[in-house]
Amino acid sequence: MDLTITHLTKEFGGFRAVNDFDFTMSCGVYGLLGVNGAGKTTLMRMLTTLMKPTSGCITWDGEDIFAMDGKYRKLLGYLPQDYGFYPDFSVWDYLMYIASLKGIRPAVAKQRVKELLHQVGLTKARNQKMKTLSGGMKRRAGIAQAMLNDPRILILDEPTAGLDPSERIRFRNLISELSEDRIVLLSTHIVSDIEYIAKQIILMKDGSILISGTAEEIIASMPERVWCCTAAKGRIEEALKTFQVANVKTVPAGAELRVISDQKPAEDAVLAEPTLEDVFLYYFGERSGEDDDTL
Amino acid sequence: MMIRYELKKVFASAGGELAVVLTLLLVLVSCYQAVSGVEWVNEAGEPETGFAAISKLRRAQKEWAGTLDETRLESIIRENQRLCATPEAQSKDYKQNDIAYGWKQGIRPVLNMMNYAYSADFQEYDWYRNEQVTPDQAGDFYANRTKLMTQWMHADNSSASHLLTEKEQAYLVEQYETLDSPFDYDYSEGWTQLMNNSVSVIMITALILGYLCAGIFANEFRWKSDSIFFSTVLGRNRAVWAKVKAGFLLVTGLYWAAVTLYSLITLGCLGFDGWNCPIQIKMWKSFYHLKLWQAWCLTCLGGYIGNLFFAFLTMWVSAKTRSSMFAATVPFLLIFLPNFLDNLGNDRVSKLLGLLPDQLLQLDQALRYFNVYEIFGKVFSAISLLLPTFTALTLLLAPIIYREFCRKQIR
Ligand SMILES: Nc1ncnc2c1ncn2[C@@H]1O[C@H](COP(=O)(O)OP(=O)(O)O)[C@@H](O)[C@H]1O
Ligand SMILES: [Mg+2]
Repeated sequence: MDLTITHLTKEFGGFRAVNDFDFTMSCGVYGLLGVNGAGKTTLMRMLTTLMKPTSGCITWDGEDIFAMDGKYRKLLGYLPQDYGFYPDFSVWDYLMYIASLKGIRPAVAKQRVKELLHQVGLTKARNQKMKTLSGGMKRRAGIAQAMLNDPRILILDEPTAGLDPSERIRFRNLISELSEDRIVLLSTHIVSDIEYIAKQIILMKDGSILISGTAEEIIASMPERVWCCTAAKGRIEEALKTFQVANVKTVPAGAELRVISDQKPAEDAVLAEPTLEDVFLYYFGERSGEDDDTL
Repeated sequence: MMIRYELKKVFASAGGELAVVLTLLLVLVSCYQAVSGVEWVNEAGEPETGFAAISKLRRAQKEWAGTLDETRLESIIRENQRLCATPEAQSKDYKQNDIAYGWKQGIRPVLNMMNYAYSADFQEYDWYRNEQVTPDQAGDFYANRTKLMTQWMHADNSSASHLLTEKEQAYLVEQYETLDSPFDYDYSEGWTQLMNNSVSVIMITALILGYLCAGIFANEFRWKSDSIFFSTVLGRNRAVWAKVKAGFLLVTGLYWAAVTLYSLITLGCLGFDGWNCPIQIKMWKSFYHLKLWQAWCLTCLGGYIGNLFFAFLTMWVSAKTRSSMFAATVPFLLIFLPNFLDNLGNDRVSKLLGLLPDQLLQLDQALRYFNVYEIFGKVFSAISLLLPTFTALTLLLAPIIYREFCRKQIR
């Protein structure tokens, strides 16, 4: 059971959104980490056969997924990044309809929909119209939809974007629950979403893989060190210009800075344990996600 | 199963509900117009409408119902002469004339036919011509129909002589000569009104259905539900067929519901009488050999095929352009463009317009036209070409829509 991507490239009028991407996945959660515009969605659209690659191929157990066609889509669960529902369907109708699209017989589908509604906590809302659901509920309905056919391959494109912190945590737990015995590919631009649940993390930049491996491997791969130091009020601006600063914490004397640097940035600086968040900053030159994302 | 949900998508939305309500309203308004279109001029010369008026008109015309043979025509002419000689008819006061008009309502449809039959020229119509007809001319009634038409066709300066090929002319003459006579005459206001008001029912239904069907494909993009739809097992095959079938069922259901309701209410109020009379008692010049009930069935069938064709075309455009706004304008264009071109007044263009799909939505009108076409030496009437051609095109569109939507890539 493996999904292999070889030399995958997608061009949009000369612009390479995905560039010579090579990777193989088997059972487990894979975190696809990259800033906006890295090409995550484009990669996933190809993995879900919605888009044909410009070159390269994707195979499932050695068979080309575009040639497999329906046989491949049968194994697939997909939660797109920017997606919509049938606004006037109830949650129940929506899931029953998607079940029918997935070729699940009505009797089986009813059972499955009940289970999933319970699992994602939407049992009470089953008769509510889709357009009346909150953002978090919609996302949970989206996950339920993707899980209907008990997919071997579950592709989740930024499933936590726009959720509030508590919902984000619930969601993370839900995803770990669902990750048994299947490939889960989850894209995000927020480190904390995948830091603890991903078996492997892929850092994606400008359409290709920058580095991949376990969280530890990736942290270990960083050639520079992380320092903690304090800076007086007047010198913060200067420090931010000179160094890559991962975090700024205001204290009475000025600010406590977390600096990524080869050399010791200041006399009082002490070495700190690098985190995935630091690595993200190092590679992408910007902090991951919004401020409330760092949970 | 999938088809049920497709239909649910259409009807669950506010637009879907509105469309159904609009259709129902349209039918009721048309029925009202049909029923209130029947007028009875009473003893005082005042027009009346309503059920009492309908039953009076019906009684008056029933008196003359039966085979319209020479004897019957003779007595109608005599009756007409008698009524024309009354002081009321002779009076200069239009109020008095109206009273006289009221007496003639039982034979009015026959008098109308006489205006055509005893006209000096085929293309002329003189409202008062019937007053000059004498009883000894009764025998010419049916023969004149063919005679005048033949004369018109062979006249050097007539539109017929340069628009119709020899074979087409021969075909029309034969149609005229072989029409069964004498005609059956009966009260038949039900059918007259049914046809006169049908265009609005059939055309507006086509526009409403166009709007509904445009959403079947385009809404997947509008709602952004397309990614999930296409990434499912059946999303690129059976589910797409389900959409095509849902469109078909939508048109079939809504169209026939509207037309049946309209027919039943209108005929229920005005009566089914006269169903077996030839259409020539309403459309003297028509070359089609049809009874009134057949003409109505044909009109409905044509409307159905037209509605289906328009809906499928709309669906195809909506699958191609991903926009229901644009797609829903397709029926508008196809209905109003031919009308516009027709008003330019070029005869040859008009003849070709007789084969466009908007004609299907108004077959009862097409029955009046001399649109015949010689193809490979054989002559066909417009209707005999329209029905099979557009049935075939509609059937052809189904797989085209299917393939168009299956092939869609999602950006
Ligand atoms: N359909 C498209 N046409 C042209 N450019 C596109 C299209 N889709 C994506 N891109 C470009 O490809 C790059 C990668 O986009 P995307 O895959 O959406 O990134 P991500 O999901 O990582 O934010 C972006 O620069 C985007 O502008
Ligand atoms: Mg994206």
